[in-house]
Amino acid sequence: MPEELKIVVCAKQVPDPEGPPSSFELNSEEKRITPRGIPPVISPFDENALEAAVQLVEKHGGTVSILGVGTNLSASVYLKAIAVGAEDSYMVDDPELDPAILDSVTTAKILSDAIKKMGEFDLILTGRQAADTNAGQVPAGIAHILGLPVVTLAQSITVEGDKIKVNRELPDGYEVVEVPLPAVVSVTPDIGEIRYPKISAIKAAKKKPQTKWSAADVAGEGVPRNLLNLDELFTPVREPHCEFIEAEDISEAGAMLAQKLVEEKIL
Amino acid sequence: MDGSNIISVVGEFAEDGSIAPVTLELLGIGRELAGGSGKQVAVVIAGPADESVTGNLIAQGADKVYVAESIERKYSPEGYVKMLDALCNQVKPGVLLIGHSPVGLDLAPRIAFDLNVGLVTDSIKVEWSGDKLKCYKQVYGGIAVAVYSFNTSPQIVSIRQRVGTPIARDDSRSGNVEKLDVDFDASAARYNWLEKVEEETTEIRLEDAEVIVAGGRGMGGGEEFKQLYELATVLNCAVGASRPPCDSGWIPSSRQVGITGKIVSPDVYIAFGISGATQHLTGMQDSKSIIAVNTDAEANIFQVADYGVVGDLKEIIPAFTNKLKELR
Ligand SMILES: Cc1cc2nc3c(=O)[nH]c(=O)nc-3n(C[C@H](O)[C@H](O)[C@H](O)COP(=O)(O)OP(=O)(O)OC[C@H]3O[C@@H](n4cnc5c(N)ncnc54)[C@H](O)[C@@H]3O)c2cc1C
Repeated sequence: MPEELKIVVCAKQVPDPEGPPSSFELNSEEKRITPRGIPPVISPFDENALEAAVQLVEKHGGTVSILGVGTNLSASVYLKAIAVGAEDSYMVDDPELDPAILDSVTTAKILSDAIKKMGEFDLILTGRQAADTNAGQVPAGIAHILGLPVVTLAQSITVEGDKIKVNRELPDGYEVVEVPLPAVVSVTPDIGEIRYPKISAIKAAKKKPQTKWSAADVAGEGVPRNLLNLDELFTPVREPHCEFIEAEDISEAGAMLAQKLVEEKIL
Repeated sequence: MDGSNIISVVGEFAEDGSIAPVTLELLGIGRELAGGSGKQVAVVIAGPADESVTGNLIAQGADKVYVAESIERKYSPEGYVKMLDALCNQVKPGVLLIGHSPVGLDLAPRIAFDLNVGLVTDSIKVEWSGDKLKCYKQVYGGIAVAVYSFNTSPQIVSIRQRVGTPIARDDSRSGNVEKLDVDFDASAARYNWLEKVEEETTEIRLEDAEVIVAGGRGMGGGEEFKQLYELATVLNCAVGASRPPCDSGWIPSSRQVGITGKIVSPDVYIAFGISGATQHLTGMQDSKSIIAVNTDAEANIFQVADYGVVGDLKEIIPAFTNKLKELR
């Protein structure tokens, strides 16, 4: 096993996905969504990756670095992430990296370039997908660019010597897969919810290094683009058509519902 | 060879060796896309295949079956990527359809990056716009739908399971079977599959269920879920949940329905105390009939429900269960 486990967690900043749908303002002309009145957060899926990383260094020793790519990244959002149990954070923050137009290929390329610049790592962890684009392509992309093996949908990760064993989620259980380190792993929420940072950790985090880079600082060959076109963006229309079962007495309504569903041959 | 008129499906098999349902669905989508245009539907499969397998694939819509004998049928990322590399180099299909299954969601980004071409994952609809594919995909957890097209070829898309409809089996269909030469040294693979551990359960799996009764935060606790299990016994159906009950340990997380749980489309989905957040709706809105019980008449779940009762589930579940016992 490596002397000290060095882990990078790729953490994307997204508008809080728990925000009500009305706070995601959709402009179909410009084909973009603008968050209104909801704060930016680390994508909850990437929080799972951070939790996995913290669990691993608790067990094996080592350090966790956080890496984000985007536009207008919030120092305080990444500070909170450090407080959960990381050593430092790196933010590639550039108007050119607007998440509304950044595709998976570009994201993977910038992340990989940044990781190369950050140093050598044993493990690169990501969430299973981003909470905004929901694409789930980046882990394979980083692995491809850096020439590393990748395992997706990890429910748990065990380090054994210079290899890891991963329990990979399946609909009816899991499968166990082994790859050599260094490796890229995407994790599922089963890894465990992120812990709350202690107040003291938030204070301590302020003293830890937060590095900011522009796209040009990391991507020598420039930003690749346009394997896909976004042609349309729209809100799915729902036509409410619910037939309400009403009765004087509420348990009566329960019985009437049963009656109705059996009559209609639904049940 | 110019294969731009070929729409190729990546074949998957169930553990018992039968063709995976998602592959039949993709063949159905392939046939729809081919329409009367003279385009051909192909399927590529790993491992030696006898006539019963290739014949089945043809009867289910394939015009061509490419058999990569040297690749082990059981999924290995490296083997399957090599197989698709060979397919894309030798046959050059215009479209590659992959299931958004546990295998496909792992494989699709690998091959797209390998070929340096665009990919749309977890698509819920594909159609032609001129000679280009348009792929519909839910983004922001289902709050919006994005429509993508490609600047690269092959146009690769992974399609959500159960989106496609298999064609009616037609044994009179004819097709070609061709071998696909793939150079792959399995001993150099870094990805080492060790074993599968099946979840021990006697319950009906969500994916297999025709009827699902699901509880949300409004259930209030694990005790109340016992009532739901009693109802499930009467209906001989599966029990599901929104995320909060799983997070609170009222029910195992394998029962979660939604974008990060299972995507289901049973005949009947009955939601008790579930508000209908987009992340949950994404997982169940394609159910044939949706029934909702909620104290809040304004709850979002009623936007997708066919039948609803506004009221306290604690009173409704027992009355509903008892009446069903009487009627069934
Ligand atoms: C990235 C991400 C992924 C997510 N993935 C999922 C997912 O896969 N699946 C999922 O479900 N959620 C998911 N969520 C969470 C989702 O946003 C909602 O928070 C969640 O679905 C809400 O669950 P709920 O409806 O049970 O709870 P609530 O929204 O709290 O709703 C409870 C409902 O119960 C009703 N109620 C209360 N008491 C009673 C009573 N006595 N009788 C009848 N009705 C009652 C209330 O009126 C209310 O409508 C995800 C969130 C994020 C950010």
